[in-house]
Amino acid sequence: MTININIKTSVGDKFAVDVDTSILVSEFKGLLATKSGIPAEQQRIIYSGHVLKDHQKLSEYNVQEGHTVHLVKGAAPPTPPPPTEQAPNANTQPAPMQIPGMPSNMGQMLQNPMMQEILNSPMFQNIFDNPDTFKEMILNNPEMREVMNRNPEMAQVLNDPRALRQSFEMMRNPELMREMMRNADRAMINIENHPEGFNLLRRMYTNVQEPLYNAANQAAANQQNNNPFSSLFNNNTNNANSDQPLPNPWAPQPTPTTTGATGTGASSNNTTTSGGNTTTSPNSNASNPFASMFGGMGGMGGMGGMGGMGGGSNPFGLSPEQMSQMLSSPEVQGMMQQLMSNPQFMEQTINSNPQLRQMVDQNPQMREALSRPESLEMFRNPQNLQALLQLQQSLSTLQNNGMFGGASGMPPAGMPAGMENMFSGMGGMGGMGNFANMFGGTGGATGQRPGTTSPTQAAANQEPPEQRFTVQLQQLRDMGFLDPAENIQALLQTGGNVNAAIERLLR
Amino acid sequence: MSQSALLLKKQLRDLNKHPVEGFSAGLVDESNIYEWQIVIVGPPDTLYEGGYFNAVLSFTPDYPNKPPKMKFITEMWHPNVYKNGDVCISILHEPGDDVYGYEKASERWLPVHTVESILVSVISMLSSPNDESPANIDAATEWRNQKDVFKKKVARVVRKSQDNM
Repeated sequence: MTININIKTSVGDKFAVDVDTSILVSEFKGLLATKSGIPAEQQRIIYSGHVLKDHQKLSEYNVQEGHTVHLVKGAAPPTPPPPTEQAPNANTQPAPMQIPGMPSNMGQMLQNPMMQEILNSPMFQNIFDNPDTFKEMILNNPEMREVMNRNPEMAQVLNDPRALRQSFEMMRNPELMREMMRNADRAMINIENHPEGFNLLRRMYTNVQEPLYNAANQAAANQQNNNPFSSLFNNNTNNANSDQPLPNPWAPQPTPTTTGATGTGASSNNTTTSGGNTTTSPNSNASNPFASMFGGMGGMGGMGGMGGMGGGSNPFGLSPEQMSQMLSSPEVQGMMQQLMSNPQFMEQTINSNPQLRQMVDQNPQMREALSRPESLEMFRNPQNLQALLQLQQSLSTLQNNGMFGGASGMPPAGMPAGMENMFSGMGGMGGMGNFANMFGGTGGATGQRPGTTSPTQAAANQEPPEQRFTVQLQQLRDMGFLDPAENIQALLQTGGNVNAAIERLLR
Repeated sequence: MSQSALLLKKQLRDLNKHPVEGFSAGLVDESNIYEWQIVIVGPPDTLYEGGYFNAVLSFTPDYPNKPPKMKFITEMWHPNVYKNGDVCISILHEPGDDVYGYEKASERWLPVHTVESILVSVISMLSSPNDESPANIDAATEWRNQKDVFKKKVARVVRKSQDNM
């Protein structure tokens, strides 16, 4: 429902906006950022005795037509401490990566800005708002369904939009994630200390985790074959393929039932991606229940990448070689094949992206092309895709060099209209490339990132602490901590974390 | 509907449409007009700047003849706020017997006070504590003799109030 509400800023400005109350507070802040000039992360919106929380919807605060909300400019969020400096903290934060069943790289993956970007992308917001989509993703995987049938509690979790949203939120917010992991860790220890607790854990592992793992692994294994149907006739080879489980000390030898993750929708495809990317450590991802979920996420994130259409810029900075490598991997192909073969999915994707929708509306041929199986077939050919990517690449070069003047919506002078159409179509498909990137992003996140960032950090560490912590020192001074030496000491000890430094100073 | 409920409803409507600088008010529970949820924005250029303090304002059906009670939910460090969060300012004291012995009747509760006028008083209390009638003796002593310690403690409650958001 769209209503008109007034905004009153702390500097006395007043303006009105029309807003759909079903959007999240964080999205609302984005909207206000342009109007008020206050960056979204510095905005505090206060209404009816509440400071509005980012992850809730406006409607949950019962904001009504004609009402006025306060917009206050708050402090900028503290600059996150450089990762290399976090080492001394490792002891105080009971290693979040050691949760049983969590892949060790998950934390890293989540901290990766790309992953964050993916999770915050509009496509994702859409999924958050629509738990059904997610549920469907999971239910499309027969193995997963079976697990849920056998464990009603699990099914209940998936049927509870709140629980779902919470887990989404958790994935988006690294802080929350850490907190949850810490809690889970604590809980595990408590359970294990309980006399019957250990047995309970073991039961849980065999009843829930094992089948889930099988589900995830199965899907991955099936996708190894380019033809999804071959798995139906080829059970034995598949079983051979899935012989890399994380050793489960308790469970009997897993005997996966090949119900064929063939027809299947997003969930199974995407699992593949997560398995496929972590080629160096296939076990760690495939073995945990989150992997399949995460794989699913990755896939959807990929669709979000389709929104990255046009422009030709490569948001994740992967080289064309890496991209084509990605595209030629059987997993990605299998996944794309499945995506393409599901016209509803395409339709949904198109509809959820305003830019794409506009494009399609303006080019009826485009819609036709998208819904015609033959033309989609074309995109399945890795060579075609590669060619497209190359085209996109050269286009972006041209664009960067100013040939098309940047604005892709503007027909370039002297360019026939048909050509322009073609380009916008291309842009859309270029999105495909982006989406391949995305997986590179998530997969790459596990290993590459720390390596690439550390040199700069090392350089930063050589600066004197006064310079390195200029901002934090200023914050501390503003808060009334007047002894610079003490402040620097505290910041050094806390790796530049202002909150922690204050705790230390006040001790 | 009782007079008190009518009066409070009208104030709620007005505040939703034309909120006053420095605070925001709504109901804790839509079905109870007597319990108000308040956010006070730490006044600029005071030690409390940057904080967002939650409080509850509890009226009785005797309003406006009897004053409401106000209690900070967020941790607070201020000479005129008890350690449990209860706010102690003269306009919230009943006019009858002067238990405190030094407040003029004119400084105490009057039926003309509204949510707005109460909060304006509380916000002014934040910027200029009254250490003659301290509710939190420790805070008052620090305020008077050890400003540095007082500042640090206030900085801490401000920081905490931000974390709670």
